[in-house]
Amino acid sequence: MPAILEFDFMLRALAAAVLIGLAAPAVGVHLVQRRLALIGDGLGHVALAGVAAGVLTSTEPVYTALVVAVLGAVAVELVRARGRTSGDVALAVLFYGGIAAGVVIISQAPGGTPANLNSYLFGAITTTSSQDLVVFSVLTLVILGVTRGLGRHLFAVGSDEEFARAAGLPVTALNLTLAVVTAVTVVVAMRVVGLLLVSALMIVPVATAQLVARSFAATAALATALGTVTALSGVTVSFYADTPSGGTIVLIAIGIFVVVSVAAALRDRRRRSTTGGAGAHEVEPVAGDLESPLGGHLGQPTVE
Amino acid sequence: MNPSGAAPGPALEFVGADIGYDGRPVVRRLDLRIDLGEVVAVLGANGSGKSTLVRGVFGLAPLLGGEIRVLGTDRRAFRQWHRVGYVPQAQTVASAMPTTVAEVVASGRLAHRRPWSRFTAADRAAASAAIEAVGLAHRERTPLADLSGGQQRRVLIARALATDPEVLVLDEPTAGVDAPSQEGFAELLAGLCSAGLTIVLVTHELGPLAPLITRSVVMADGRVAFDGSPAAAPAGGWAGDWHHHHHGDHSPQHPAAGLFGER
Repeated sequence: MPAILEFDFMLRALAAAVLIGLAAPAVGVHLVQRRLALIGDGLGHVALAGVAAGVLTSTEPVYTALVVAVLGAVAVELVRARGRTSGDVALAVLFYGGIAAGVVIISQAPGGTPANLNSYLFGAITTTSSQDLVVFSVLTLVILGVTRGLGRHLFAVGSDEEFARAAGLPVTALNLTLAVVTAVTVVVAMRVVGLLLVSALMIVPVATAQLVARSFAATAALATALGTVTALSGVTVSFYADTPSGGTIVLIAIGIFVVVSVAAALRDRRRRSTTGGAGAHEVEPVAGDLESPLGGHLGQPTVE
Repeated sequence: MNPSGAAPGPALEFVGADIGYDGRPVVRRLDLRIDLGEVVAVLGANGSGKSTLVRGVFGLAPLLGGEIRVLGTDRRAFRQWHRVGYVPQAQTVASAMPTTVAEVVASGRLAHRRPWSRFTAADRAAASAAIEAVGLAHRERTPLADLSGGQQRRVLIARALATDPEVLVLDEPTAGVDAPSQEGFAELLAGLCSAGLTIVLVTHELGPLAPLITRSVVMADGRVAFDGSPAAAPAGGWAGDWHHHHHGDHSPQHPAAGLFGER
């Protein structure tokens, strides 16, 4: 038996890695579609205040972080839905407030210093307890259940929010659901990769998958597979190389992304040179506005 | 699509409707009734309120006063949105993710599906039929990014058709599309008309669509400036916007405004 499997704490670490490897990209695919790749980072900052509150009140930090992150996610979504130009500033204020509150609250805990937050900021997967694993499993089931059960609806809102509204879909409820699920993912990932790197597992596997996939469904499936493989290999490497698990996982994910990016760029260059540049775009002249990256969902509606 | 010869009745009714944004009405005191079976062009210059009018139907532009009825029901109480297809302006087609034609069109079926319910064979069949109807049957698994602008518009039309609507509302479906694509679109629309679909088409130029239109509503400054037979309408749809730089006279009634102002 390989050495890594002889330790119970490593078995629990690997199990936690699989859970977050499955869940994070399943949520991330919807965030990337909405161009909200950084929302996970923000919620990670907010969750820190929850962790500190847990330490201060001697409550399990996972639960307090969950409550605070969910509240933060709802607030973020409500600010975003109003579509004001000051929205990103409001988000920034919320995120800084999360970190600042975390540091201040922890200083009030008996014997608490900001150093107590390190395991949450950077991950401490080997401290995952059996009880943590039960909580993470339940939360992961919730995340996967929502992303599978509501996947088509979330996709429709992400691809064209105005059409989704016109079709009578409960757009606000769906967006709030996604925000809450994102917060739950942040909390599950916090032990594995740490709050500062939470977003990487949601975003990087998706960024890699969309370089090679041709459909949304294939992107989601490939990203989930990449996330799981990355998390497992990261934990394994960190065990043998004695490196922190969170950073190792993220570096592996980024390494895969870079390799696939280069391969995809070479493929595109070869394709262009063999077809003489006659892509489908050139068949019919296209108005420039079609290429515009304006997602109707992020800005004000276009008043004609 | 519903069989031709739909029983006449109101498709869309505006009763003293104020529609706008941030409390400021763009469309003011609108009284308009569009019946089932009509093929109506809503024309007007940029800023005339023609898009706001249809956006009001779907709640995308808030109703600030008055009433809008959809298929006889106040829009706030209306729940059968699958009966009304919507083709938004094409800016919304851009996607950050690889997305196939089939995936976008399938989302049109969601008006029939409550959250958590699964797609049925009927949903898939309707989506395929809609893709075929717009002439993209061989492109079902093609990513949107690989399609031309005209083809992307067809995808948005297929998404609206997938819901099997009785009323189809299109917002500037041909803006920025070249002349051959416009003619292809006219053929597609002719097929939908003969299938008995009620069509409301927002545009600032009719182009090759003119023969299909049974009624023109011309908007100017948030009000109806003309409503009647397209033959009696001011030619070119009063398109007094900056695209029409070939005439110095921007009088809305200029008779010679071009059919293809936008190239």
